[in-house]
Amino acid sequence: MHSLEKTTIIPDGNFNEILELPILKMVIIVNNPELVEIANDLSLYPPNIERHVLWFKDTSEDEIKEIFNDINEDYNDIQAFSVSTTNKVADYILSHEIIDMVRVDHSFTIAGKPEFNI
Amino acid sequence: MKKYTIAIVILLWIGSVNGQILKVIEESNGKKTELGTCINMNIAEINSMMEVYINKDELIKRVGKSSGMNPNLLNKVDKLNTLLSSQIEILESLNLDFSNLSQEAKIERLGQYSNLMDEFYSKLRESNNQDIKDDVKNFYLEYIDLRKKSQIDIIEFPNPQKYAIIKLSEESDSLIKNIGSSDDLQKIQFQLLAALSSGSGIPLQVHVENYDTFTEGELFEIPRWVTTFSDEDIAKFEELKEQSNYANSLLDYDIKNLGADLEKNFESMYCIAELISNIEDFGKKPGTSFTNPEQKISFETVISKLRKEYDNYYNIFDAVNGKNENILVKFNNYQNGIINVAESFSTNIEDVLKGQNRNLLPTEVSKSLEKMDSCNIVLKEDIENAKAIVNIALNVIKPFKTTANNADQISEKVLSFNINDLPSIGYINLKSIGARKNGNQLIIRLKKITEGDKNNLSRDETIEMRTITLQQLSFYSISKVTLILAIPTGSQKVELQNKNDVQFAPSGSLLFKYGSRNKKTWNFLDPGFGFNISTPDFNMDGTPDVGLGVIGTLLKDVISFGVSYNTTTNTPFWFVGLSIPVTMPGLPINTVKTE
Repeated sequence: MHSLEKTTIIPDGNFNEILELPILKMVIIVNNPELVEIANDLSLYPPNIERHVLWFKDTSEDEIKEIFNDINEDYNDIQAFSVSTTNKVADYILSHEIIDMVRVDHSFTIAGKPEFNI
Repeated sequence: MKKYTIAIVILLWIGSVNGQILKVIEESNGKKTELGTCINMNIAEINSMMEVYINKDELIKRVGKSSGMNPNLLNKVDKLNTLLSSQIEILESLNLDFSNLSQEAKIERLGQYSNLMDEFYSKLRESNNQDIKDDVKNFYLEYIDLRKKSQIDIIEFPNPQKYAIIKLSEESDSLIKNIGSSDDLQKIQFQLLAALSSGSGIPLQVHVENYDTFTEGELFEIPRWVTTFSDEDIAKFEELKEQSNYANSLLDYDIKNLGADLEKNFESMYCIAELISNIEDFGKKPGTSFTNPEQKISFETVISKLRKEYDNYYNIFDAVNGKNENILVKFNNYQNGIINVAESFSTNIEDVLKGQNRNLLPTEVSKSLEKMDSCNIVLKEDIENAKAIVNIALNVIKPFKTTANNADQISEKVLSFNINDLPSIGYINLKSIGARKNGNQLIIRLKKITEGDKNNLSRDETIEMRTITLQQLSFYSISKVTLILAIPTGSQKVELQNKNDVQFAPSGSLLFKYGSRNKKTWNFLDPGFGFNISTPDFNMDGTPDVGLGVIGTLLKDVISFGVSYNTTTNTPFWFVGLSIPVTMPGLPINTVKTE
């Protein structure tokens, strides 16, 4: 894996610092380096607003739901989800979905929609 | 590179108009307006310059589909076009600089971009777009690779999204070019033609720069503000004076006299009738004797033939004398009937006279026949006079015939192009297309001409047609000369000396109007309001009075009405006018010869 310049790996990294920024985020809650790499690459050269990836490498449902209390999908079905500039959960990348650049960028895009950034 | 992107964006912009091939932009007073959009109807300023764009990509697709060429490629082009339907807006939002915006503005712009891009991705992720989705993924990977190696212009392509969309556009462009270079399409020629239609007659061909070799006409700008009457108005006013005199005489004229007047105008008729009567009288005279039976037979033969021919000729006047016919119907009868019968009569008289051995006739009869030769000369003069009258009416048609002939000649100068050579833009300068009026229509047609093979002739087909109505826009004024029917009114009402108590008079008006770009009904009603000056003759002293008043008009001034004041007789009057171009038939009523 190449260097993840725009990815904060938790538990080592400080996710609160990122969550305080009015930028788009991709939260990855599974151990899927390929997904992390794609999300990281798509964060490097963002259109318009900054992006960042939070990779909870080893976490629990309770911990995630404590941070993102508006998750309304089955936690076990989620690989990752995008978060708006105001930290609203916008889109879920589910376990059965094929991961590619189109899918991940679409997820980032949905997080930028007006209804999630009020 | 930046120029390249701008060119692509412009190209895409041109191609984005609902699959239309032709796009017409009007340029007037330095402002450009696209016609035929949801905002602007197909109404153009009458003095403007027009740019006609041909979207070659749409043209290739349209022709390709209708001819069944390269269905797989066309299918992919269609899918790309659907995906890229909002590409202009996406590219615009990707070009925005966020750095100096407030957070609120940033979020607003982000929302606009995200909505557009969400739509793009939703379509892209549909199952039938898998091939294009793979392309997009590859473009993203390619971009990131190039970017990491610093091998890409980051000002031009700051992110993979913009890179992918432009690459998709190029792919679509490339596919269309492939279809365009196919042998089937190369066999097809294209023409762009424009014509001006006044609603009647054959449309007049209009020069389109880059698409024909027709020489541009003399520049003529329709003036926006007309405050004086032109020389043509003045000439028409004089003409209307005559017409109003004629119309006023009709007010008192008993239509039953028409046939009698026609007879009087044909002097030759009396000359011939008198001679035939004289000859007949000679035969009936008690003392008349013939030298031999052959002389009597010759006499009876010639008088019988002359009488028969004369009766045929005379009967046509009876036809014109029909009591309940419209005056214009009578004119038609006059034009079609009398001239033909008169010409035939003249020839038949000549034949009778030539075919008769005059030595076989009594001397008195021979002398009368010699006079008949003179009468026939007068008859021929009458026929020429009648023809001259008819020609006045026929001259009205002449301009239309000339227009039609010109259109036929000019059509040979329209150029044909194959898809590669077809210019993308043509110009029409409305100021140089000659006489035009509000409501005239400019018809622009794109035609394809398919080469015929050994068994088939070439075929041409109109691919797309745009009809643009020409109109003076905003406020403007015009001058108008019309015949009015004046109706004296008020307590000081003047008593006219004709039985209808009304009077025709020529009048001139300066009218203020408003032309709308978007309201066709308003332009159709075309209301006008203004000042009117007329010259009735209420006191019937033969000198025109001066009437000053106000006038309202409707339906392109066909209907007008107003109120005016006769400054000579100091009496007010109402008036109505009809501006339908009526050419007075020139019946012989005004030209009765008096002895």
